[in-house]
Amino acid sequence: MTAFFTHIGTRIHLFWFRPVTASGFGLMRMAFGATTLLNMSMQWRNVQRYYGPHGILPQEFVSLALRPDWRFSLLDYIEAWGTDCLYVLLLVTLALVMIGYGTRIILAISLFLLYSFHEYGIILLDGGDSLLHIIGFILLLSPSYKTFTMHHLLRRLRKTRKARVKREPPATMSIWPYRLLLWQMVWIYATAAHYKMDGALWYSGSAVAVVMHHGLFSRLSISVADTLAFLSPVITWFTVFSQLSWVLLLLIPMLAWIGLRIPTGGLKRFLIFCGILVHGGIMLSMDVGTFSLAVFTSYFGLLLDEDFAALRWWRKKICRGCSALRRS
Amino acid sequence: MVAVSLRKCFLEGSIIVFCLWHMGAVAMHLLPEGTGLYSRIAARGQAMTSPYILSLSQWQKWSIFAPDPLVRDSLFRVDLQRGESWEPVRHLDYDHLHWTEREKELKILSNMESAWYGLVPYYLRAYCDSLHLESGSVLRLVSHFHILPGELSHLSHMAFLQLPREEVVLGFSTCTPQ
Repeated sequence: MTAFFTHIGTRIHLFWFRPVTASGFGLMRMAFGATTLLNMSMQWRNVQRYYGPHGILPQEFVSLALRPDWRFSLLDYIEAWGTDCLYVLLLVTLALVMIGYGTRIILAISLFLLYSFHEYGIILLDGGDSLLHIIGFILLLSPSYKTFTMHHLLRRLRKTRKARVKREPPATMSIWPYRLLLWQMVWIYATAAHYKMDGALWYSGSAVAVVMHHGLFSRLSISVADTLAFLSPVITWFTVFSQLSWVLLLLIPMLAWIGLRIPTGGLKRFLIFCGILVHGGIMLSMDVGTFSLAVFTSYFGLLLDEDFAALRWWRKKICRGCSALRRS
Repeated sequence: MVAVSLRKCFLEGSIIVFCLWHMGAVAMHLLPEGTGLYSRIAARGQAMTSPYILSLSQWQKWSIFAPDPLVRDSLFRVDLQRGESWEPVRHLDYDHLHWTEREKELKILSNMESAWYGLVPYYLRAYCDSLHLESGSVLRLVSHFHILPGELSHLSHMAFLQLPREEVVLGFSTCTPQ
């Protein structure tokens, strides 16, 4: 009986605390800083209009227009000059998060400011903004400061100056922040696919053609959109199926309960690749802000040791193929 | 030694409980609407977890381009009143907006068109300054739209179809001295 409980305890411990590489979360932190900095700095001309007390949403109407419960924004209480100051402070902290200076405290300050701006300017938020504040929260919980920081860079530079350079072991962290992120991503894709399955245009295959012709965000001219419209059914159904398939990343590991162990690393990498195709396509053909970049940011956090090994293997294979081509 | 081990156990247990709570709260927040017992359970779960989700700004909804993509394709324009007529003074569409502000401006405009009508006067107020208009000048925001067809056969020939656009006035604003 004791052996059984010890076995269960070990399994639970491994499920939540198995050490994995911290590189994925380090890269995600850098990408989060860069994407959010880009997103917010693009608004510099309109800070007072979007977030100021006399802007599109005047401060006196905040209580009427926005949700009354469980909401906090510093911008509800400050003057116009304060909005400008907080905006500059937010940009500075995001730049520091990106380069990995000050790490957790700076990340906490930048998130507090980012949430203040998002909670005030709800009218201008899109999916990319929502995803960024979700990623930010998971980063804050995780030890994302273990790699790719200024501190590590300086230490590495100092060591390379010394004669005998001893290679440092790669930084690791417990796997639970990865599990939180994976859970979040699966729910994002599953609910996105669920909502789409209620739409007639997604069934008929014309949803992507409608989006390509939409004047609000399409980068394509009407003639190009007309020419590409025949691809719409394939892209439409590919999008829905690839989003729905993320649920498999939760369902397949559950088969272990009946003794069936199927590794899902390959499936995860394939779904990330599909996501890069879908969101890369969106980024090229549509102006939907930093949504695609926010999704790519989250993909960094989903990379574990085996994924980095697979990436290295693919890089080697591609390099060999390229050099063989050059020789021939 | 035992104290260290106990402390570690407590810390790890707390992390597991927190992760389960966070995952449950996210799932409850994102559960699609339903009926019967399911909806009652979901409502109870959401009532329990929403303070956590809302206070930490973890609210989210992923109905992007769903259930169907937006078929109302609008071009926006700001008009200035000149006597009895209206003169266009600013076009707010993909071609006329600066690339850095295009996405956010169009997001605000489409939100005002669909739900946030009340903010149109405050949106227009900024143009009194940028266009150097006198106090008392009247501006209006106009949406110039057509409905995109849902059939692929029509969507392949949009350049020839030349769908007619309708005009809707979204709101007015009178410039006041700053």
